Amino acid sequence: MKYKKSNNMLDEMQDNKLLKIEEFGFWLVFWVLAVAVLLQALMGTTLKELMGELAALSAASVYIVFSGLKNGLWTRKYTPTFKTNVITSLIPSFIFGAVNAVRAFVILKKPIELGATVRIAVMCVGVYILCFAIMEVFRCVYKKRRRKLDDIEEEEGR
Amino acid sequence: MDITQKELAEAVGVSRQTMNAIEQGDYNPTIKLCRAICKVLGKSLDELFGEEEN
Repeated sequence: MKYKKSNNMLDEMQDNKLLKIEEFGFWLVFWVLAVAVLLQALMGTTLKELMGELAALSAASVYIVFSGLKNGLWTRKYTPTFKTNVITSLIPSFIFGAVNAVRAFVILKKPIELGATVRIAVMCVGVYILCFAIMEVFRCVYKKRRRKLDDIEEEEGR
Repeated sequence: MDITQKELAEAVGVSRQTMNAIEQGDYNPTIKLCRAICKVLGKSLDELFGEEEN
């Protein structure tokens, strides 16, 4: 009795190992790209010039998020709650604020004025609200999908 | 049953590296692979992969 089938040359252990290697490779590329985008943004690269990197990052992010939601998966460590969304939305907001502040006041050497500071702060709040709203939508979709998948699995298990 | 690791690996269609990892307890095979090994060796799942009683 041959266990192996299809044209896959690897057995299940080798396949699992290769998946782990590919997973590591994916996250390596993802974070190196994210850091590269941040550094370029800091150095004053325009949005137009960053379009390629941003398109690649967005494609990977959209794929990860929507595939996870479709399969009723969130993260390994956290389940989505109002509280975790309140906290995690602070991260992109802080990064956005820090990048803009460093770019304006350190790289471009603009004078630290109240107007510019308030503008960055307002944009940070905007990013926070946007991220929080998106995360809340995802939380609702996740819960709905999880319920649906659990119901299907329960019906099939009967 | 008189069968080498290489022959068993070939009979179930996995590499010797995988068969060795299963023997050493470094890899937990799927139930599908366990059943394939049982079939080749003519043993039950319990006999091959069941908990050993003290």
